[in-house]
Amino acid sequence: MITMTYEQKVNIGFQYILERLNPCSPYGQELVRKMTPYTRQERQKLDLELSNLEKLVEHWMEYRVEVRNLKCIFMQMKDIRATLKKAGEMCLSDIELFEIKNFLLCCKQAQKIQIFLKHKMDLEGLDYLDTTEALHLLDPDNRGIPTFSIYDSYSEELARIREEKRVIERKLELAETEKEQNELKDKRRLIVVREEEEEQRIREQLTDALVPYISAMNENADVTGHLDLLLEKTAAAWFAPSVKPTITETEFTLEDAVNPWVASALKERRLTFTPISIALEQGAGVITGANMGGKSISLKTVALNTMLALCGFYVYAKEARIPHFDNLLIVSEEMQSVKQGLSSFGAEIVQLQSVIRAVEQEYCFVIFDEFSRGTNPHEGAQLVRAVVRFLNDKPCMALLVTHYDHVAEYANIHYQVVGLKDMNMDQVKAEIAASAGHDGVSVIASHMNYGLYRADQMQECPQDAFNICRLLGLDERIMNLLEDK
Amino acid sequence: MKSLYELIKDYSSISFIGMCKNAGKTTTLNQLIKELRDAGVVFGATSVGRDGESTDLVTDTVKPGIFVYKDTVLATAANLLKECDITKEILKTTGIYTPMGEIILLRALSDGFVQLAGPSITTQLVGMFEEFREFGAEKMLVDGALGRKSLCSRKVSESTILCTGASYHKSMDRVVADTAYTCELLQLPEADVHLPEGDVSKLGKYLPLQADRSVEIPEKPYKLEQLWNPRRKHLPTEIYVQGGMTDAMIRPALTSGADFRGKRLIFRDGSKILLSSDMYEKLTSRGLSFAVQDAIHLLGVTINPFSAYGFHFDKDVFKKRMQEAVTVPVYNVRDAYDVK
Repeated sequence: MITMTYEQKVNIGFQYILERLNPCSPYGQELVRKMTPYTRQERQKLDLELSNLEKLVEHWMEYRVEVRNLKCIFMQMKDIRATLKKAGEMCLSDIELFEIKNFLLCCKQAQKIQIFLKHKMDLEGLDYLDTTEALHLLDPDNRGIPTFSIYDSYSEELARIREEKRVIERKLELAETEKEQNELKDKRRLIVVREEEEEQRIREQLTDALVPYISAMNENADVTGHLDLLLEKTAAAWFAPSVKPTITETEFTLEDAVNPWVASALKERRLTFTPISIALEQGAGVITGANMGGKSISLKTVALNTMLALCGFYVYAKEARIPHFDNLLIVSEEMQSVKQGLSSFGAEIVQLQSVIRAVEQEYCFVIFDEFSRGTNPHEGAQLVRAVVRFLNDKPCMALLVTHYDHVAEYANIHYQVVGLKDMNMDQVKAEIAASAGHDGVSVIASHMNYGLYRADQMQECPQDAFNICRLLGLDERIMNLLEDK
Repeated sequence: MKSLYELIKDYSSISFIGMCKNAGKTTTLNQLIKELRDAGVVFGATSVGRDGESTDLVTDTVKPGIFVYKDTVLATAANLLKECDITKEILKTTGIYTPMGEIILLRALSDGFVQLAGPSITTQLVGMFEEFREFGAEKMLVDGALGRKSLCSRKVSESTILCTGASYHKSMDRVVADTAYTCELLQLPEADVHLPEGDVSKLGKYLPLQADRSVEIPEKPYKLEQLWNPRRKHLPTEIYVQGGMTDAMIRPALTSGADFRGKRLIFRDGSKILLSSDMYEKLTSRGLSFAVQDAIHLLGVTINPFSAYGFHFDKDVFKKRMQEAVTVPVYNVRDAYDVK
């Protein structure tokens, strides 16, 4: 099972997507709050979800009026699951009966639109169960209005008592003396007691009569949540260019993938996101690249889109083929562990331990963000190499970014960030000079190519650090010492 | 004399506030409710906080409950529904929660006694009238609670009736004087003040008003005695006071010999003026005047000559003296209506 911490969800931009969803019903809101990927056992459900989503995306514009109406109905729905649970145990109050009646009326309205959309778009599943009988219990006169009262028509006795009450009230109004009034008030009080007793008897009867429909109502609450979420997933398909992912056994390809969260942050700084393309195989893949080259961004993009696919969303890419993993594990320097008193390196090793346990039990996708960066480069590099060699033999997929040398040669696949490779040094220098040295970092960023290319296994990490130092105009004395070696 | 209904018939919302417990507020409400029924007016009723208990929770005397007629719309807390002996129709759940449960809108399908406990936040009350209207109510009655005079501002209800009575104090002089003073505060003229947007609480308590009705933003918070120090060159004529003002707050200005002639203090609403009536009189006689941002429309005063504490006033004397002391009509609710 994939469980991600909140921090990780934020870190890869998954939380950004979730926060942009606007489910209208409390059931849909809960599904978003507790979003979990489909497990491998739920493969059929995932396929169904994606195929329904595809149809909705295709017909979205055509039926947007119906969709809006459906969402308006969802908006009126309250969470009645606690009330339904109570109905199985004790008598419901007028307000609870009122809420159930409203829920049933909403379901009835929603069902009409759902049937229409389902028919028009050839959707599968998502059916409301018939609860007409339950609604009839709470609307015995078929008025179809969303208010509730213990109606006279529930029992002749009740109608009789209430008529008596009315007669007394009329007399009370005409009473002349206080004595007369008080006598009538006493009489009325006795009738009110009988009315309340009869009402209570009817409430109990109604509660009992509703019990057989509890599971159907719960089911309809689930259908509502599911539909609500599905409509939001459809809306999410427009956050950025997206595509229906193909769920595969072991093949992993992303073509021109983007991360809308990172893209929006870049947009604020008037920069554009460079889409990345990557294909992975069983075992370990390694991404190497220059400083400032956006290696971590490519990891976030891969992790986000994998997560989205497994949750039944469209994927922000031109093409996506993603295996149905059991688990997605991210090993990174987490603030939380550091706060708990572990050193960042210690925390990574603890995480590595659980990764090792997991890959031996499940089909995992493991992502390492600059693993062991916190320790000395010599031992750190050795450690990363060992991890790569270990993971290569396991039935899992792993992706590491690192700037340690000689890691890629042990990996099955090696990608490199294009970085400053094709950059025209003189032009950049001129631009930095033109900005009077104030804005060197963003000039370099604008020339940095964040794209990935498939590199030779033996290719070494690019040595761009000194270049960047030079471009940023690091003190000459230090540069001289550097070249002195 | 005009009936209560005549008094309120041009207003769509009316709130009721009491000088004290057992001031006859419920009696007033019941009388008006009866008159509204006779006039065929459907209305909605709610309360600020809780009211309408059958025994007074403070003095343990029997209190009349609020008696409503069929078709009245009510907003009250879920836990009080069982205390209402009307036949009920649940209309709506509002999503507003109080310590006594969610506020529920219901319609009376029969006559009966009800217990009201409505929202206690102004903004929630403002929305309540719309809800009532949705279910056919033409008017809204708000049962105000003790010490919630600010909730009678026109944002909440167009008009207000003040209820007072012998329960307030043993001395009739004191009841009349204090009621008259409260009426005075409730009838203060309205003044326009343009406050800057955002959090203004940090700007200090006293903000001098400029010609365009906006407030001067001080570099550091002013003191009142500083602003009206006679040795200063330009004394502001109007000052906006944030929050309440007690005797102790104005005394330094008074003792420093501040010149109050032609000056005016502006408050958010009448409930912010916590000055004793002696002090208020002293200040006004020196030429200081008062105004409020949110004026209240006071329609009348009702009096109850019977005290819950076992002593009573002569109803005719009480009414005569009250009428002399206030500028709005005075009604004796226990004489004219309750005893038949």
